Amino acid sequence: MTDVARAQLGPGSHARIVGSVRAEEPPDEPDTATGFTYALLHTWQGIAGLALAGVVLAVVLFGPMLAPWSPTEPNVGPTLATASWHHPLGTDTLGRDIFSRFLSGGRTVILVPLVAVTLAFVIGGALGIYAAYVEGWRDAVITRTFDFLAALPPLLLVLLLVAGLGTSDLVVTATVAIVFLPRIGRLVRGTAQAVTKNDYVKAAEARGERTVTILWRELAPNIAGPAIADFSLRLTYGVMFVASLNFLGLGVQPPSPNWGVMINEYRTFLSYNPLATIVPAVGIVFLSVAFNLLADALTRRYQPGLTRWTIPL
Amino acid sequence: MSVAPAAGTRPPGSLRRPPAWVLALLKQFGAALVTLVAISMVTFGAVNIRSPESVARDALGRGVTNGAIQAFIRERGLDKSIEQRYWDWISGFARGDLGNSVITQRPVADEVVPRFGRTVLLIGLALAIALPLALAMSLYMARRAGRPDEAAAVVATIVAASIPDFVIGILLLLAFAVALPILPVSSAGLALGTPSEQIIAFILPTATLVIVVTPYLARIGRVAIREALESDFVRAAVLRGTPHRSVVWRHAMPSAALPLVSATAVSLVWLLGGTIVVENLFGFPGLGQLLVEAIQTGDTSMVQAAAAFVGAVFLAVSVAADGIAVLLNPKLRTSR
Repeated sequence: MTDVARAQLGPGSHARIVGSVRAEEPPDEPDTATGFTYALLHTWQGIAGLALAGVVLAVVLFGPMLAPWSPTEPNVGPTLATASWHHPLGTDTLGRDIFSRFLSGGRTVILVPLVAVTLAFVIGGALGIYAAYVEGWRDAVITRTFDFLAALPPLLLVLLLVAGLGTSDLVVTATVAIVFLPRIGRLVRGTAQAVTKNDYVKAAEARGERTVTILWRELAPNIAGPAIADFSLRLTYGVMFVASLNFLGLGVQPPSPNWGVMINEYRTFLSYNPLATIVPAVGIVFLSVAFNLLADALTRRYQPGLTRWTIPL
Repeated sequence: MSVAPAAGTRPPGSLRRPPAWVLALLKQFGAALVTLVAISMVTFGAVNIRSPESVARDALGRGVTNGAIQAFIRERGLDKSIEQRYWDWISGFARGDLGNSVITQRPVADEVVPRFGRTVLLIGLALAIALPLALAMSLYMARRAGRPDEAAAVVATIVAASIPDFVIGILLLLAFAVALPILPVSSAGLALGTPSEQIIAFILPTATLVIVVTPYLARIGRVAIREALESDFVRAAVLRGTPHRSVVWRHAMPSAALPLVSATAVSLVWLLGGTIVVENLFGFPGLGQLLVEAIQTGDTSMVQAAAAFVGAVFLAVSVAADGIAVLLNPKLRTSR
């Protein structure tokens, strides 16, 4: 009984409606930028996320310059060597230095999801705000399209499109953007619906502002907080999703290094040289944990009522 | 009074309209059917973007004559219009004729059907373990709301949810096949091995999938159960002096079940992607492995069949979950 009573009376209950987006009031912090830095610098999730992201970004940015060997040059050492001073993570079946491949292999792991999610956000977000504002049949058409696209299983969709269009970073970026677009669009539409009826929107309409201006100057700033929080969460999913695709051998052409591809290739000698697989795996995990922690910090700030797990990939 | 119809008997004429839950189920089923058709179109369209010549070249290998390529195209019907070919494929599919592999020339069905069963079993096993586990975890977290160990559990679920499925699989391989060599590295024993080898082949793939979905389900469950525990009807039950156990299991849990089942339906998207990755990681001879293999070899008829079956598995399980959610929803159960 005591447990139940405590649960009932517990302060700060965040029991809200699961599965719906409620922005009862505009973000209490009028200046989005201030709230943004506050959320990142004054919560442990924000600090830990920034630190982790900093470590991975440092490896990705400066790694290629520090690589002791060429990441693609074969036979820089004996084939399949284990860790040594010359080759800290050993060498692979072609005699390439695994450490150098690790230092150069993070670029696409970050870049492809970043571009894909940004693309999905720009297009999906614009459609979502537009649908929320115009309502009526245009809203219905856009929403139905989002629902339909979101009903297709993501990995299956990407696999099929890659099968038809060929495997390259460009195709993978575009198809991953298609996967994320309807999900982001639905969230932005739901968030924007809560602010389209505000007086400042009516005032802008009375002034005779164009629709594009109203969407961009009146609505977009007022959903920026939740949208940024959602963006960081999508980035987590994006990193994991693209890494899975790379692991399945899609998106990267063979000689160029990539952490996901490395895990797939080097797991064949997992028992012999486990470091070769573990180190790139740690790189991917650091990256997605970092984005997830940042997402958590921002979500707690901007969407306190929204359960983060209601609209997953 | 005794001749009057008993209370609750429907007045004449109301039989025409089926109860709300039947309509809701039919709607779910219809939506699934539309999605299945869409998947088949996307599958067929994506696979057939390539020109007949390039399909033939992939199948016949390098250094074949133009005549051989033209003969292949004619024999396969690749010179027909795309609508005609889609219709041929889909009507053959409905009759149970999946065609022959472009590469091996053997019937696609021989390869797809046994793998289909294994993949369904893998997903079913993973859900059968993950759901009770998630329920126990969410109950634990919900009842310790606000205590430090609840916060620790929340952090653990964040970290667990950020680890990609194939990394979880690799970690399990490292632990149970390399450091502590008690399980096989590959699940290939499933196809030809002894019964005990077949059972062992399921352990690591199932464990990986369970670890992938459980944190997500547990987080939804935690919120749902806390919401139920804080509701007025639970408060009323507590004030009536209902025993604690009964409050949790008879009053709170049925109301928390609905979001949990809906979450399961959504998590299937995840589980399906996870299955494709996990099958490739462990060499598990299922549909996901076949699909990726067929894409890499350019076996178009195999890609089509495998993708259609993967889509069908996905929809069948999500219709089942939606159906359970409809039946659990008291609003749909009572209203007509």
